[in-house]
Amino acid sequence: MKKKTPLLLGLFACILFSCGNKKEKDNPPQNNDYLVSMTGIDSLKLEMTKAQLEKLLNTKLSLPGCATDSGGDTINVKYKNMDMTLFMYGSDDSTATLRSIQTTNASCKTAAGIGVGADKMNVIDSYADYGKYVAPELDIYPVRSTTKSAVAVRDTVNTGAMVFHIINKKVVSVEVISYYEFE
Amino acid sequence: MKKMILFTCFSALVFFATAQKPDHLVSFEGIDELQIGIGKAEIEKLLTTRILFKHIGIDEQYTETFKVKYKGTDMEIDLMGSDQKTTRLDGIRTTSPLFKTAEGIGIGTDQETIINTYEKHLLIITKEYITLVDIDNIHSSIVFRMQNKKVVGIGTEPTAAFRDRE
Repeated sequence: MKKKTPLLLGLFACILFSCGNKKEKDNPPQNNDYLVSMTGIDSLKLEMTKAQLEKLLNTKLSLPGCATDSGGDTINVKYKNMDMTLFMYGSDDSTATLRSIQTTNASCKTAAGIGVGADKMNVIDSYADYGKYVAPELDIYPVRSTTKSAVAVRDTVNTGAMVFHIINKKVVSVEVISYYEFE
Repeated sequence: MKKMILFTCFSALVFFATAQKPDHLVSFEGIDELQIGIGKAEIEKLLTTRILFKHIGIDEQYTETFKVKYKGTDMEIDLMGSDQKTTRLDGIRTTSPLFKTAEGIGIGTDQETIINTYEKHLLIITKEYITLVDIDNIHSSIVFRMQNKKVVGIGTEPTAAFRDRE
C-alpha cells in the first residue's frame, strides 16, 4: 500500500492539472477592452467629421448648434453598445469635427489599464512622465465640488488631454478632448 | 483687577498676532517677509545686503537670479524689471527644511501627502515639480521641486502656466 501512495498522488495531480487546463481552454482570457488614447476611444477618433461619424455609428446625427454656429453640440450615442457622449464643434454641420469623447463604460481603458473604477492616485502614478492638472471640478460656477475632481493628463505633443473624472477618489468617467484648458 | 484684565487681553493679542505670522512660512504671497512684488530697496533691507545687477538696466535681459542669505538660510531669488526703480521680487526658493506651508508641507513631504492636502486647489504635476495654484487667483503659486516623489525644494512664484492669462 505504501508503495502505491506516490503513484496515487501523481495520478491525482495529473487529473487536477488536466482539469485546470480544460478550464483555461473553456474560458480563454478575454480582451473586450477598448483602447483610450490621446487620439480617441477605439475607432472613435478626435477630429472625425460628421460624415465619418455617421458611417461609423451607422446613424444620422443632428447638429443644430453647429448648423447655426452657436457653440457646438453635445450628443449621446451608442458605440459598440456602449454609451458615449460626443462633443462636435464647427461653424456649420458639414465642417463640424469631433472635439471630445466621454464614456462611463468600464471596458474603455488606457494602455496603462486606467479606466472607470481606477484610484485617483493610480491615475497620477501611471502617467509620471506627463504633465497633469489635478483639481476639484465645478459644481455650479463658481463653486467647486468637495467630492468631484478631475485629473487631466496632457498630451506631450498636441493641445489635447485624457481627462479622468473622479468622485470620492475613484474614476467615474473617461474623456478624451482635443483642446484642454483649465477652468 | 482692571490692570489684570488689561494685561491678560494685551497678552492674548500679542499671542494671536504672533501665532498668525509664524516664522519660516511659505505662502502664495512669498516666503516669510520676502513677499512677491516687493521692491529692490525693501529686499536689500530684509537681506541686509546690496544687490548689484549684471543685466537689469544694463542690457536687454529683464530678469536676474541671485543666491542670497535670509535669516541665515540659503535662498535663491528672481528679480524682474527694466531698471533699478521698477525691479520687483518675482520668485523665491529654498531647500531649507525650516520653511513650510501653513499646512506643514516642506522638504521631505511625499507626493501623495501634497495631493491629499491640497484637494481644494489646482495642482500642476510634472516629473520634477508640483505647482500648487491658488484656485481663486491662478497667478499665484507655491512650487515644490520633487525628486523620487519627495519635496527637495520649495518656493513661491507667479504661475508660469498662466502668466499670459487674464
